[in-house]
Amino acid sequence: MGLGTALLEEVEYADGQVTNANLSDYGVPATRDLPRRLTHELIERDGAESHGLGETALPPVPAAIGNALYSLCLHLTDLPMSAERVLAAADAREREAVPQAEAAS
Amino acid sequence: VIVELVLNGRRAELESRAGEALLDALRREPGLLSVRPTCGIGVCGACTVLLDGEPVSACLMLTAQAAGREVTTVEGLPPDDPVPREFGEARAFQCGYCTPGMILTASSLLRERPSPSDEQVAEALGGNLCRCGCYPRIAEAVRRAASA
Repeated sequence: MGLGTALLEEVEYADGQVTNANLSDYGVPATRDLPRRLTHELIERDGAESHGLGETALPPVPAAIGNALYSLCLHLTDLPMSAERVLAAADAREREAVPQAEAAS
Repeated sequence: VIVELVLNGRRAELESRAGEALLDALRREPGLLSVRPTCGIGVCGACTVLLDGEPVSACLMLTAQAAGREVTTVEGLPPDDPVPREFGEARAFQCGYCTPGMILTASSLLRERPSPSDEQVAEALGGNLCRCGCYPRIAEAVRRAASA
């Protein structure tokens, strides 16, 4: 899926100790985190080798979600793109928008 | 302690240390390795068993609490239960670690609601984590089992 890497997963530390070492604090995607509709396309290429793909090894997914956010002028450059980081990016967008609005009035 | 219960449809005696979780007792002596240890705190659903038909986390239950009750693991589902077959048909797994818990939860859901909505399926399986991210196929397997 790649959703966990993109949106949720980060090992956190305090004083050298992992503070979210179990699934109660370290969120991984569950059924309710999925989008309603999911489409994908497999592209065949000569000479390409097949390899395993799982939750943690799907690089295009964070990039796709990051680009979707960027299309809303939300510029996130750190993973995961957690709710807190998206909110911070939205605040930054507001701050940048205010001077322009004032200039227009 | 010796705990008497009905395990997969048969009367059984489960030998257990005092204070031992049902998960560990099931894995040790009857060797039911389909009941899987992961988080140990009832979050992941990998150790799900049915207790009198209801899904519970075997890591959070003392063996003694199962005394006189009916415990079902994936091995004890009736042979005509469509859920395991449809999990295979829909290829609803990659590594398979979460599969027994998923099957038991889904099977219990379908006994209660033979035709669940997609929303109800997602709700019911919300406590079973799949690290491979096979959720769309798992939902597909449950839909197929519901219409089987």
